[in-house]
This record gives sequence, C-alpha cells and structure tokens, in this order.
Amino acid sequence: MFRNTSRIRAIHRRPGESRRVAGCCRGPIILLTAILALGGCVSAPTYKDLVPQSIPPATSQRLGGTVDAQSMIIPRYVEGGQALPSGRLTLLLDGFVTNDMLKPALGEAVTKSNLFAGVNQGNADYVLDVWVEKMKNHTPTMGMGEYTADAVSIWRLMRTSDGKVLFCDFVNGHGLITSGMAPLRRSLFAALRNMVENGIAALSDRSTEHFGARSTAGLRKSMGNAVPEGYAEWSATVKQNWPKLRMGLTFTEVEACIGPVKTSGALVKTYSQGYTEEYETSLYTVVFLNGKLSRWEVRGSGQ
Amino acid sequence: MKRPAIFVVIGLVVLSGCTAATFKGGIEPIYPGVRSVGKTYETTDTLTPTFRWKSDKDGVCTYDFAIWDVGATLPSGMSGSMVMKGPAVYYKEALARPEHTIEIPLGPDSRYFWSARLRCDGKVSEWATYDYHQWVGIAAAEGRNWPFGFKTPKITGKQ
Repeated sequence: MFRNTSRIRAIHRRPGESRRVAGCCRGPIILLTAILALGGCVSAPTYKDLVPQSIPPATSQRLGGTVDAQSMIIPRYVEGGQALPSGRLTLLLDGFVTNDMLKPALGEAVTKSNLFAGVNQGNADYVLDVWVEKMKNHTPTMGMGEYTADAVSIWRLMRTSDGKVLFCDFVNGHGLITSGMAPLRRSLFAALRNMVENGIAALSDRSTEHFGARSTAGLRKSMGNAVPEGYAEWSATVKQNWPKLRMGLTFTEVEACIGPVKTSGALVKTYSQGYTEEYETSLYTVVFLNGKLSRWEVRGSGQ
Repeated sequence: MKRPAIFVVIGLVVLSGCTAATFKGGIEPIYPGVRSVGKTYETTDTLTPTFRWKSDKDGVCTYDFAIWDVGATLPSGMSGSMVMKGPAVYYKEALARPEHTIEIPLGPDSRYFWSARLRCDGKVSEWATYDYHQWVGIAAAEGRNWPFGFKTPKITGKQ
C-alpha cells in the first residue's frame, strides 16, 4: 500500500492568519462538535446486529451432534462503493463489519435454530464453514433514497469423523435501508443477517440436496478440525505434477498437468481484471497473463 | 516585506517540473524509470520489455523480480490517496544480473508496478520502493513507498 498525498501549499500565509480563521469559524466548529457528539448517540454495532430475529427452530430435522460453526469474510472491499458527485469511492469492508462480529452471530443463530445438539468450538461432530465471497452495495447518488446491499456466501457442512460433505451451497442475503443513521453500514448488516437466516433455512431443508457450490468449495481447507474427503488425493496429484508447470502454458495445459483449476472445489479466491487471471487455493496460486501461465506458487502444506 | 514571498514564488517556479526521488531497498530503477512530470507511469516500448536496475550489491547478491497489477485506489486523509498493489502477475527468483526480459507478453495499454529485491545468502530484502516529491507551479505532490509504475503501449500485434 503506497501513500500519495497531493496538496496545494499556501505560499502567502500571513502571521496570525490561522488564528483569524479559527476565530471566524467558531460557530461552525461548535455546530460540528454538537453533530459529532450526537453521532456518538448512535449505538456501536455489535455481533447481535447480525443475528436474525426470526429463526424457525428445527425440531424434526435435528442432526443429533455438536457443530463447530466457523466463518470467514474473504473480500477486502465492498463492490459498488460510495457514490459521490466526484465519482465512486472504494470502501474497505472491515471498516463496517469484521469476522469477529459474524462468527459469534453465526454461532448464536445456529444455536437458536436447534438444528444441532449444541455449538462447540474445536471438537465437534460437524464443522460448518461459512465463507462470505462477495459484498455488494448500492448507494443513492445524492445520499437520499434506498441503500441496498447483497452478500454472497458459501455454506459447507462436513462430518468431522470422515470429512463427508453433507451440504455445500451458495447462500445469498439482501439488505434494504430507506432511512435513519448510518444507512450504508446498516444495509451491509441487513444483508449479512439475511444471509445467516437463509443459510439456516437451507441447512434445515432436507427436501432436496444442496451441493450447488461443491465444484467451488467442496475441497476447500476447513476452518475447523476436519479434512474434506478427496482432499488428500487432490493434493497429492497437484504436488506430484507441479514440477511440470512452465512459464507460458495455456489454461488447458495447466489443467492437464494438475487437474481442474476453476472446478477443483478448492478455490478460495479468484481475480480477473484486464489481462490478469489469478486462482488461489489453500495449496497453490496460479496466475495467467494474457491467457499464459505467468506465476505459480505452491505452499508447503495446504491442509 | 513582499520580497521573501517573491523569492519563494521564483524558487517554486524554478523547481516546477522537478521530481526528487529517494530510493529504498538498495535498488534504483533504470528502465522503466520512475515518474516524471505528467507521466505517472512511464510507457514501455514493447509488451516484453527488458527491465533494468542498478545496485551496489551487483555480483554479491542475486535479485528477485516481480510485476503486480495496479490495485484499487483508496482515500487516505484529507486530500491523499492510497494505491493498493494488485496480485503479483509475474515473478522470477535469484536473477544473477540486474536486468530481466519478460518471457511472456504483458497486456497492452495496461498499468503495472514492478520492483526487485536483493537475495543475499538466502535472505531477501524488502521489495525496492521510492519516495518522491514533485513540484508543479505552486502545487506539490508527494508519495511514499511506491513501487515503480509503468504502462504498456497500445499495441496488440505479436511482440
């Protein structure tokens, strides 16, 4: 991260100028202080703001075991940003919400759902991994109107004993705020809260299989104490064939060496912009420039 | 009374267009060079440029070389901004000489950062960066910890 500061420096500053400016601005400063003091009246957000109010308790669908509920917010930025007359401002997501808030909220929501016998950190019968993949927002141009936000996540439930994936699907959430203080933050919170609610509902739903995200995250490294089935074979194949990779290989040639990349089920992050494509798993990173392999890096231990 | 102010103005006019750069990490870029007035990113002559830098450790240490996408620009402070590095798109390790020709073409009409670092006895230094101060009339700009930016030409033919 590099800092670039551009400013116009006043040349003809007369002695005492700054004091006179301060004196004539006393009124607005008092007003500003009052506004800031009132701003403090808005309660600081807590993880409770991410716990859905309405979670239908699952009685007949109970899984009968404890669960370790883990979460991770992957993106650094909010897609969309803040609309200003001068353009769109990129926003850092952790300025609004962090995983330290999402994780306890998820744990509380899972407990309230009664889907499992209990929520247990570490040694549990199941591991629930929740990855927030994307956060998008829309702010009205002049700040008046609807603030909306969308969360895209992947939920994966795994049996700890054998790594069997029981559930792996995309879960979305939507938030809409039309009035009040801090509408942007509240819209992001509303989207995450709705995502948690939808995730719990999907976990309770046994009417159909939920494996829509298996090719994206079925083999992802778990945040809990479980290894997804098939991970060892996939990892061995990648490591065995890794030395065959060469600068300039096409995407197809790379997949012929190390197996599927986009559909490996182990992708954690993808980046595609301009002529660059980057694919990152817990085991490796491959980058393509103009469609040719330009950087490849394998980590010592992916799991 | 007005004389000091006049001297300041004359001084700034003389300085206008000048860029003062301080290189960090023991490496100074030769090509593509660092920014000059009106050119935030120097344009290379080809999509497979030969990068050159100098260091007083040449012959003693080897070099790692990398190119990054230019990432997002974030606001910082009252009037500043922070430019984030995007992903590393190209990486070469332990180069014996302080130069490297890209082995695959970069994207045309694209902005990138590049840098090198010293690799001495298995230890690597920080990626080289630079601080700059630039004067344009009565305005001044400054940047800290910048890697070396460059831009590729608008050509799509084979390089």
